[in-house]
Amino acid sequence: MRVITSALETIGGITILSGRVARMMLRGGINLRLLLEQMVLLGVNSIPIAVIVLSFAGAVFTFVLAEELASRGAGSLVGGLQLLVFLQEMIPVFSGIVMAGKIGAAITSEIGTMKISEQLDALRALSTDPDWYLTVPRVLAGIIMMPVVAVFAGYGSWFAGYAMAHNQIGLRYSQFASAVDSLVSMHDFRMCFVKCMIFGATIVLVSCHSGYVAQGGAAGVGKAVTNGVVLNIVLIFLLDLLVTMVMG
Amino acid sequence: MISFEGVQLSFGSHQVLRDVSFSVTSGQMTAVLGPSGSGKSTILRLIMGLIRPQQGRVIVDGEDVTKMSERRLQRSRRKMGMVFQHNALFDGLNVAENVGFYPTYVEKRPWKQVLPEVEELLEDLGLADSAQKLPGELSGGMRRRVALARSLIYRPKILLYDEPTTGLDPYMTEVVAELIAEMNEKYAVTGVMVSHDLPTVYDIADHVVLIAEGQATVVGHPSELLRSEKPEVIGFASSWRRHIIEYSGEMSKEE
Repeated sequence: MRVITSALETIGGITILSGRVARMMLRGGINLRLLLEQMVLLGVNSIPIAVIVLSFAGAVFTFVLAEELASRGAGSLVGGLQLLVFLQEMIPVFSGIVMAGKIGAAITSEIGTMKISEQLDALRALSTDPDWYLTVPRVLAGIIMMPVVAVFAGYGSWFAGYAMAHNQIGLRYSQFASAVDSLVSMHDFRMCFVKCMIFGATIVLVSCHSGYVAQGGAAGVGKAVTNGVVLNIVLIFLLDLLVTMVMG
Repeated sequence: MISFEGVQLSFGSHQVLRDVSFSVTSGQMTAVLGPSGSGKSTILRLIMGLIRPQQGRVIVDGEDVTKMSERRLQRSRRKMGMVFQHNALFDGLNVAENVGFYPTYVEKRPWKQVLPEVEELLEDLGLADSAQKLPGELSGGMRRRVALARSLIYRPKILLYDEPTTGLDPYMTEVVAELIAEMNEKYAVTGVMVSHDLPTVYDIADHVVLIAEGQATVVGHPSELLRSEKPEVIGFASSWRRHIIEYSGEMSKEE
């Protein structure tokens, strides 16, 4: 019973926070300086780790698939298949998980620490809405920068996949890319970007909410960070399923 | 300027304030005393509108802050400043940015215009060399002065101090107390101070309000702490009697 109440409280809290943030964004209450700062922190600084993770994923994917397809005379499909699967699933989901671990944890611990050290009250005392100062720029930066991170991560996985295919079955670049036109459409790119934007917003909202409800000192902040990251990962897979079914 | 009218507040099943009524006179410094956990800091949060009571009214400058929407509260808070017990400086901003927060983000003035004001205030508070330091690089006394500067920069009519000298060494306690008195006079603010530090209360308060067992007792001038015949004041003063006598003795010698 307590678990259900707590889950409902969390869902309700995140929904209310989303509503407030959306209202502020529609009213145009965005500080450009804060937004740019967050775009660098959330996006630019996450590109290297996302590229590394997706490059390994691309290499592993090709390693498993290349010889199998080559033995059936379909080696030239490797690149196209990899891009298709990565656009629809791997890039948004893996980038989302990387962002949840790196950015989500950082946001929750920062806001949680601000809460327990009365900095959120200090913001309010200075006539500043914490949502305006902290949440709105982070959410917007998440929505804008997650697709940017995904582009870099996508390139990483593509070239790592090619390097593996070249090494394993001797494919030239033109052969590796030959099936892209027939297997991949603009719809796959759209789906990738839509998922990235939804995941970007979700990760930041969940992380901010986890920070706002943190209580009880350093241990409380640690617990809030864990809860935020776990909830983000579950939500990434749930939303991935929903978006795939809707856009499929 | 500020008045509490029959304020009741509970956190869960714990009733913190049962029926609190008192007034704070404009232009004077009122000290709120009371045992630990009696709800002294809660008084400041109620004035600032950071929490709302279950019953009663808190009137600040003619407006009931308990009934205001968050948006109206934001406007109302522009006439108030608060120095938090643990300073609550923004970790990620340096001293100058902390002090210039209000003019930059609330008044939305360009930093070039804000900086000279920040520098002047930091000079006044002896922090001119620390403008580029982060809060984590400062001593306790310096952090307290930055917190004071952050509130003073927008010239509030009302300043609230939550345990302004707690955690400071005796020398720094004296420095901060003097600074508060000096700034209150210079900027003509109405002050409400929560404190455990009786020497500071004797030094800078004009009035004392005692919060005990969820109720407020107006004591009057700090010297009344020893003379009052109200049972709750006698009860509180008895535990501090030695300190009060020592300090009032020192005060009269000095006088």
